This record gives sequence, structure tokens and C-alpha cells, in this order.
Amino acid sequence: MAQYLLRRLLLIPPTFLGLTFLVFVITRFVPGGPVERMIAEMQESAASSGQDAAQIDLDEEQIAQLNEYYGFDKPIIISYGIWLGRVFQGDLGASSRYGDPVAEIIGSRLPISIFYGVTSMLITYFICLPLGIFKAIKHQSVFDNLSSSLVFIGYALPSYVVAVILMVVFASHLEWFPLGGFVSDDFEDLSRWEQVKDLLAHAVLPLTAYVSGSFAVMTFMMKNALMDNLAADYVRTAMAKGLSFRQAVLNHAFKNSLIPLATHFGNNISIIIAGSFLIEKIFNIDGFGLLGYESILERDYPVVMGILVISSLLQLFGNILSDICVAVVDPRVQF
Amino acid sequence: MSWFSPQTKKRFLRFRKVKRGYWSFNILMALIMFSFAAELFVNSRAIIVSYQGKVYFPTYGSFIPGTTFDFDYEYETNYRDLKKRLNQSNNADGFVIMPLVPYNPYENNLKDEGYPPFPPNFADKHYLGTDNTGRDVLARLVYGFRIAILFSFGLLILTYSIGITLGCAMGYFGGRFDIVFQRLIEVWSNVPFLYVVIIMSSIVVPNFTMLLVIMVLFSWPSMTWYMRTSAYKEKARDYVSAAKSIGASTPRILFHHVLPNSVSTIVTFVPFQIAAGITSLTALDYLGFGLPSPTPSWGELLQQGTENLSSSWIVASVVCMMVFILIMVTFIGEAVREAFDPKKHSIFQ
Amino acid sequence: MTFTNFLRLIILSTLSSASVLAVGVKEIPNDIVWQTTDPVKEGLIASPKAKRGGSFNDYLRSFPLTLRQVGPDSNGSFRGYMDENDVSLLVRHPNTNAWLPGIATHWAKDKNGRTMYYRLDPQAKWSDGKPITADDFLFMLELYRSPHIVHPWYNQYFTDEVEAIQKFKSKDGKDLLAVTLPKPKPDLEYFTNFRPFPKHFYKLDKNFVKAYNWKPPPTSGPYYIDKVRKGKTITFKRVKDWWGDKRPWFQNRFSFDKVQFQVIRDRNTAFEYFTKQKLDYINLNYPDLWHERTNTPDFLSGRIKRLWFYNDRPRYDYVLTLNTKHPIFQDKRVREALHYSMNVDKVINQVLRKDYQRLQAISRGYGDYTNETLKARPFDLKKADELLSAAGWTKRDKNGYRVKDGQTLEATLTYRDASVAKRFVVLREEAKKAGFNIKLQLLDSSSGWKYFRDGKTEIAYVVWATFHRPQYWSQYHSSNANKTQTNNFSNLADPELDKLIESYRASTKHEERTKAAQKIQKFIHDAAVQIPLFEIPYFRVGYWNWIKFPKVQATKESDTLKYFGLSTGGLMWLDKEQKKKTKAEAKQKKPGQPIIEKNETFRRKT
Repeated sequence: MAQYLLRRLLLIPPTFLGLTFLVFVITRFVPGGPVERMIAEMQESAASSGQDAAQIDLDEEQIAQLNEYYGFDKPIIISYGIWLGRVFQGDLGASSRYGDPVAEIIGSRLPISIFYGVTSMLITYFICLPLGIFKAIKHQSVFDNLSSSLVFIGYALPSYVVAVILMVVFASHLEWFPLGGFVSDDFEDLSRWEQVKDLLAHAVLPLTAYVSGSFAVMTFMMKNALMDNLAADYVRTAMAKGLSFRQAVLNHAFKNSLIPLATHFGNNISIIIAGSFLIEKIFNIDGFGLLGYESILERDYPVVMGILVISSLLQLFGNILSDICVAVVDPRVQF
Repeated sequence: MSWFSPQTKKRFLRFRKVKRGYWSFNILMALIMFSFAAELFVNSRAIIVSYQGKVYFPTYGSFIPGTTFDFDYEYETNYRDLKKRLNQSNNADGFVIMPLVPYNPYENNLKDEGYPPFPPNFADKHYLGTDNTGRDVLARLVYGFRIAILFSFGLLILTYSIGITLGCAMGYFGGRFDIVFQRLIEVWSNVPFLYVVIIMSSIVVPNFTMLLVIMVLFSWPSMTWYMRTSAYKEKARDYVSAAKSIGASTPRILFHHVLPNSVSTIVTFVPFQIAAGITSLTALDYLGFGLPSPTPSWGELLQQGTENLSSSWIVASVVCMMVFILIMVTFIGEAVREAFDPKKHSIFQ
Repeated sequence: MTFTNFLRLIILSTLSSASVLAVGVKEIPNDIVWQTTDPVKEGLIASPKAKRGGSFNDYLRSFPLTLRQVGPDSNGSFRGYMDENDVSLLVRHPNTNAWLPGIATHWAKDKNGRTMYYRLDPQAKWSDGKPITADDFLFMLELYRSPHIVHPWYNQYFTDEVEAIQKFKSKDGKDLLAVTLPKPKPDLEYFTNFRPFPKHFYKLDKNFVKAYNWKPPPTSGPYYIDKVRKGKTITFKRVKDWWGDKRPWFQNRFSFDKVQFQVIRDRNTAFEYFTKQKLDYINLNYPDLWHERTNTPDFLSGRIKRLWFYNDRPRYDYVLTLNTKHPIFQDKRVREALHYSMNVDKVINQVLRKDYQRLQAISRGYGDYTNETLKARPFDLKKADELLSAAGWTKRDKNGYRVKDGQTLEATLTYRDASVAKRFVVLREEAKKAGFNIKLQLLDSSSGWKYFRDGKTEIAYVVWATFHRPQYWSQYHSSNANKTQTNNFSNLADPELDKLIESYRASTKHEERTKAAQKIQKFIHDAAVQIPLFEIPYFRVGYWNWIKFPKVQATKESDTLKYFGLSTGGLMWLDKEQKKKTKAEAKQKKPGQPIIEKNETFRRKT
């Protein structure tokens, strides 16, 4: 096991290097980079300053100066090397839009995304596991069919549509919940108890939108795995030996059915922080998803790369974590 | 060949037994067929026109200028006007048979009184209303569905070809080949998908093929994973070693032994792959990175609908349609799974 | 060689020949005539009823990338709010166009036609209490010319277009300023009307860009940035005892103690915030917002009032530019036919709720400079057919598109704003009737702009911003045609037009200029390279009734509700009693009558 993990860990660096290099190269060849964006903006908004700037064309020297400012003046491989060197020192560079350190920007968004990610994952597990078990036991009953339909509707509806509908109905029309944001503006002035209430009130709608789609996969994974196990010989044997059905399910089948869910767990780690930029945009939440989307749209390459570093590392370690989880629930697994 | 072996037949019979899935399959197939022949049902061109003793079938083929029917314009005849005119003269000159929904997905049926979007109106035969430029929602749904389903099938075939070939090879050969490709896939699947889409659409107008290629580029890895695992398992089975020992060639072993035995893995994922195709095209269109305007698309309708929630018929139509299609696809998926994986479940009371 | 380099050469050569004069002027001549204007005579725009106090809430679509007003990423929309709180030497009267005293109390023109003299107000102070001096203006030029700001456009403009800014002292000890341009220009006040930069605040060195990213500078205007919560809110605070408060032009204006901005990314979400009283006003220019979203109780009972204010200012050139290099558009008849195939009226009347007007030609709203005789070509399939047939496009293919020699009559329309797609969808379907196949292409803003400038467009949807005078050189002069990276998207190159443009640029006489401008417009109209689309002769907002206005709520120049801006802004104030009352009434959902105020004081008769 230890050896296997070591081997897996050793494979992380080459993957990480390949990935970051690939994306780094792409950023160089994309039209509409920061320099071009600046040129376009200047020409278009010349009117705002009243100057006839639309008539000013830059010469090559001046464009070179801009390229230097944005760090586009060196060959790809060298700038990649510089970037990588900084990353190893824990420096992700500065955002080309905000001028702030990327780590700081990401750090300020991370708690929000982790809150939503962890909560929605907990909710999903807490609802899906019991539901899946119940559905497996009552396979093809009315309850099974009905809940299947409901879960599928949630699955089929894009989460952004759910978000818009929730917001219009419950926040705008019925006014049960606040319109958006992570917490209220006067959050710092509230008592501890009010803070919790405030946070939860803001979280209900976005969380509903987040989890509505994820029930289906979890529930069915649980249900199918449990049904497979219930059909397996060892459960039959156990019952033949006089174990009650309830005991058979809870003591034997359930534990083994967790294996596929455990495999899934590692993937969830990276999903936790990925968020959905559309939900975040609709509810005005400053999360990770929105940051990523905006940085791509605005060609804020340092932030794009910074997010990539964090998310790919989480993904790579998450995969290993999955393996460990599987090993924990399934002692037969040999590495 | 094992494709039409008794086992396949048995599977098919089992599939038919799962009523929910079987009926979903039939309905979905019917819908697909219907959408391929949509020009006959949802179209601004008439099905049959009989005019002054001559009969026309305008549906397929070249456009017929208005002058043919004594209108004063040279562009395409407005058959709804023609029908009205002929009706007024008690069909003395002939008659027009229009499709059920007499609109194509592009034309703007605007009015002097009121502004689009118009709510559903049976008198105008806008059964699901119009969108914000007066285009028939039902027509756009139907043609949008056709594009989405074609897209999904294209996606399915391409990802499967790549995924199966590569996955089999990785699982079967193992070793360094496997490790190298594993890394490549790991690298590739971490590239932000949206990023590449945005980049591509800022260089060229995305068209059907280009979007398909981009989607394939990003969806082959998961299929490859599954196939790799499956081939890996099969390889360890005795029958493969047996085949090897009697001198079967590698392709033969792969295609005649490993692949047919992995077929349950492959087939189980088909419906979900189709669903994924539809939802991802819809999401791209919703974000504005999909097919260019004015291509009929569900995503564009969704976008309009969520922007104008007060015109609830737009969002309601798309959402219902999406839910309907995707639920059927999942039911089919369940049925397929049961057909291929017939464990007798113990249902105890 | 770019034009500006060429210009620079000319400047250099003229300078060396007149070797006596290095830069600027030697001294303030004795024979100049100092002038000033009395704003009261020109007409005040504020109301004496205005009460100070309270706060005003608006929103930003995105948080600004920097609080610097120069340098990388400084060009966002938030910059406008900052600039509006900087007083320049002069302020323009929005209704009469007269120059009013700003930081300068008096001004004078040199006979040489390129130097302006300004007498500074010794009372003028920065928001941190330091006096505004001539040095702050000299520093402005130094800053704009400095490579440390990483803003080559400013570097170049202020090197090429400004020769010198010099300080002098008057006999009574006041700061005097001489601003000299390299060559005589029409509207000299306009081109020399600069704003100061606080010299005591900035340190101009290599670190400039990073150092001032988030440091709000002191301002010379009524508000300064007080609080910044990154990514969330920005608060402006009223300057206590602002020096301008003593000036009649600024009296009874800028009444709010605080102006707060919060970030709301989604337009629909912002509307919801407004209806929940979290914002004081909302822009309702879009027809769907004005008509569809205003049926809530607060709108219907008049607690939210709607203002529809007609203005009279230079109009944006909302145009479709046809590239004369595109094979099918080389023929002028085809270009004209496309004009006749664009059913803009249908879009206006049946999609945009008749709220917009048809733009008749380019350069509208410039007074004497506008050629009012030009009228846009209407939708006329007969004329389109005649022109196309004459050009040889007689046959149609199976889809109804015209063909000639195996070529289809088609072109791609490139646009950069997804929200206007629905207008083009209708235009496209209508153009089909004439046999045109218009394909639509949406590109994102900056790569789309690059695509335009690369000269790749066939039909480009552009909204040209307005200057205080119409500009033609960069868009229509042949020296910008058939090259990449220019604004001549139509690739129009005609010696006659060039002559007109050159005479327009060279002249400093009002009459010559207006005549030339009108001729240029006529020429461009006849060349059929710009299809004029829409004109919006007003702005519309919804606001809670606790915001009060003067009788005439805005000015001739106003294009939205403005709480900032020395020329047009800061006219409204908060009625605290009303706010309490309205909030209570909104809770009870008290019924009432909807209120729409339509102000046509400045509406142009057509």
C-alpha cells in the first residue's frame, strides 16, 4: 500500500508539469490577450477623455513596452520557467487585472467556495444514502418510481435554471430569503447567533440550486450498488444462516455498497471548490467558479494559471484519496 | 459472431420486459423520427398547394417565388397568406394544405398590435407562443431537438470510437503504453473546457462540426477510462489466455473476445452519453458559446426564458421538453442496464 | 510610418525653423483680454430647494480593476465616476455650451491661435486640504508623458498634441497658466482645458502602476473615495466645505453626503435590488425593462417614478459598416441595395416598441455640423431589386438567395454584443426577401474589435462613440484604407473625400468646418458604406420618489441620471421625510397612480 501510494505520488509532478505547460502555451496563442484588450479599450473609449485617441496608433516600441509590462516579451519556455520557479516559492504572481497577488485573490474566495462545497456535499450524502437504501429495498414500488421521477427532474433541469427560478419565486416574489450575496452588509455588527441565521438565510437558495442536480447520481449509485450486493451470494448465505434482512442489509451489504461512493469521493474534492459560476453570478456570490469564469473571459492569465494549479493539485491528490477511501471500506483491495 | 447470438436475443427480450424503459425507448425513437421529418409537420412551406389546376409540393426542393401564385413579390411565397387568400375566394382557384405548425424556426411573425414575445395562441397556431422576436417556440424546440440529437449521436460515435480503441489498447497492452496514455489523459482532462471553447469561439464562428470536435476532445477520456478497466479485467480471464495459446492474433482477441465481453459496459453508458450531449450543447448555447444565431437551439430559448421570466411559456416549454427527454433517456438507461446485467435481485419483505 | 510619427516630424521641423521659440511662450503678453462668464446669466440648473444630506445607492456591474486613473486597466467604467470628481480649468455649460469658470476664474487666448492663458482660483483646494496650484498642472503633463504610467497613448498624445504648460505669477500674486499647443486649433478652450493631478500625492517612479492601484487620490471635486471593500462596495464621501460650494454654478448641487456603489453582476438581479429599495434608481433605457418589468405595485402606485428625459447631444453612430473590399460590396449598387433591404423600421416598430428612432445618417446631433438634409434609405424591395438586377444579380438559388456566376449574394455580419442579436435576426429574415444571405457572427468584445481592425469584416456592427466635434480622418481617410489596424473598416479611399477631410481638419474657421463636415456626411451617404440604424434621443430611469429633482430634471447633454459631474450632475437630493413615508406605504402596499414624467424641454423637433 505504502509503495503504491508512493508511486502514485511520484506520478503527480510530471502530470502537473504537463498540464500547466499545456495551458500556459494556450494562453500565449489566444487572440484578445491583455495587450490587445488594452488597445481595443483605449481606442473605443477615447471619447470618455475627449481626446482624439482613436487616431493614435502605437508603434512597435510602445507595443513592446506593453508586452513587457504583461510579461509577454520573453519566449514561452523561459516565461514558463520563471512562472514555475515562482510557483515553487509559493508565489502565484499578480493578477493582470487587479494587480493583486493571485494567492490573495484565490484565498479570499476559497472559504466561500469551501462552505458551499462542503455543505452541499454533506447534504447530498445525508439525503442520498438513506434514499438510495430505501429505494433499493423497495425496488419498483410506487415510492421508488415516484422518487426516481423527482430525482430525475432535478437531474434534468440545469442548475442555473433552478437558480433563476428559485430567486424569482422565493427571494423576489415571496421575499422569504435575501436576494443574494454571501452574507448581509452589516454582518460584522450582528451577534453570533444572528450571524449564523444570516449566513443560513443567504445559503438556502444557492444550496438548493447546487444540490438539486447531484441527487440523481448519488442516489442511484447507492441504490444500484446495494441491489448488486443484495443479489450477491454472501448476503444470501448470511440470510440462510438466519440473519434478518435488516441485519443483512445494514451489516453486510451496506458496507460493501459504499465502495463506488468512496471512489466518487475523491472527485468531489475538486468539485467542492469548482462551484458553478452561473449560480454564483445569479446569487452574487464571490466564489471560485465566478473567479475562474471571469478570469478566462477577461484573459487574466495569472489568475487562470493560479486556479489551474490549485484545482489540478486537488484533483490529483483527490484521486489518491479516493484510492485510500476504497482501501478503507474494502479490505480486499490490494495495491 | 456474438452480436446476434442467443444471448443478444435474450438481452433484447429482457429489455422489452422493463416496461418503463421499453416505452421510453419507443417514444424517443418516434420523436427522433418525427424530428427528422419535421419539415412536413412544422414548416412555413405548405405540404400541398393546388393552384389554377397545377399541384405543387413545396416542402422539399427549391423555393417558389410569390409571383407563381400571383403575389407581387419575387421572394418565397408566404403560404399562410396564400391560404387566406384562397379561402376568401372560396377556394375557387385551388387550395393549400399547411403543416400542423405553419411556421419555420427562423421567421419572425411580428404584429402591429403588441410586441413579442407573444403568449400561446391557438388561433395563430403558435401552440407554445413565440420568443422575443416573434419566432414560434414549438418550431424552434423541434428543430433545436433535431440538432441536439444529431449532435449527441455524433458525439457518441466519435467518443466511443476513440474511447473504445484507446481504452482497449491501454487495458490490453498495459505497461508503459498504459502509463504514458494515463498521464496524457490526466493532463488533458484537467484543461479547463470552457477556456478552450471561449478561445475557439473568439477565433472563428463555432459551427456544428467545430463544436462537435471540441466536445469530443473533452469527452473521450472518461469513456477511455471505463474501457481500459473493462479490458484490463477481461484480459485476466482464462478464455483470453486460452485464445492466446491457440495462436489467436491480438486484433482477433481484442475484437472477438475482449470487446464483446465488455459490451455491457459500453451499452450501459449510451443513454447517459446521449443525455450529456444534449445538456452540454444546451449549456454552451445558453452561455452564448454554442451555435451561431439564428440556429434554433434549446440553450438560446432557455437563455431568453430565464431573462424574461414573465413570459413564462418560453422557459416552461424548454424546461418541460428537457426534463421529458432526459427522463426518458435515463429510463432507457436503467432498462438497458437491467437487460445486460440480469442479477436477480432479492426483494425481501 | 504612422500618421502621428509623421506629425511629430512636421512638428520637429517647424520648431527648428522657428528657433527663437523653444517651447511655449516667453511671457504673458500684455495685450491679451481676460474673459470670464457669469453662470447666473447663462442660467443655473440646480434648484434652491435642494437639501444636503443622506446617501445615494447605485451599483457596478463589476468591481473596478484599479483606482488609478492612468495606466493599465484604468479604462473601466468606474474611471468615469472618478474623473467626474476632478475639476478642470473650465466647465462647460450643458445647455448653452458656454465655458464657465472651473479651477480657472479667467482665461484668455493668445493671438498665435495656439496658446491659452488661465488665471487659477487661489481658493481651490484638494479634498485633503492642500491648495491646487499651477504646479499640479505642470505635474499633469509630466505624468502623462512619463513612461512609468505604462500608458503609451497618453504618452504619445501629450507629447504630440501639447507643446508646453508653463506657470507664471500675476501682479497680484495669483497663479497663471499658459497652455501651448504645437499648432493652432479650432476650439482652443476644448483642447487646453486640462485637469490637475495632485503633485503632493503621487511619486512618479518605476513602481507607479503598482503603488497607486488601490490608493484613492485626493480630488478637486465635491466627492472623494472614502471606503473601499474590495470586490464588494466603494463609498464616495462629500468633501466638507468644498471650495466650489461658494461658486454660484455649483450651489445647491451635489447634495448627498455619501454615494455608495455595490457590485451586482447580473442586470436582472440589480433590478430586483432596486425594487427592494436597496438601490435608489435603475436605468430603464431598454424597451423590455421599461414596458415589461414595471408592473409591480411600487411602480403602479407611483412610489417608483419613471423619468423619460429627452436630450439633445451628439448621437452615437449606430451603424452597419460595409467593407468595400468584399467582393460583393465592391459594386456600389449592391451596397445601396443592401441599404434598401434593411427593414430597420420593422425592428423599431415591432420589436423595440417604437421606442427608438431611425438614425438618418452619421454625425447626428452636432448642431451646425450635422447635415440635416440626409435621410436614411428606407426598406424598399423594388429599389433593391432594380439595383441588384442592374448589377447582374438576377437569378436566385433554391433557398431564394441571389446568385451570379456561381457566387451567392452573401456576407457575414459581425457583432460583439449578444443583447442586440434579436435585432439582427429580424433584419436578416427581411433581407432574405431581397435575396441577401446575411450570416451572423458574434465575437467577444476585444477579439471582435481586433477582427474589425484587421480589415476582415464584411459587415461590421459598430457603435461609434461621440466626440465634441465629428471626426472623420481615422474612419474615412484613404491613408487608413486597405491596411490593418486602422478604423477605416469600410476601406473607403477617395481623393475627393480625402480633400474634404483634410480641409475640415486644417481649418480653424467655424463656417468652413461646418460646411466641410456636411459635405463629408453627404459623400459618405452617397457612397453607401454606412447603414444607419438606431437613435435614442432620450434617457429613461426609474427612481424611488424620495429622490427629488429640479423642475427640469437634467440637462441638454445628460445621457443618464447623474449624481456626479461638474457640468451636468448632482442636481437631485434626498427627502428624508418622504423616504420614511414611502417605506411605510410600500410595506402596506398602499395603492396609487403610476407616475411617468416625460420631459421634452430639449427634444428636437423633427
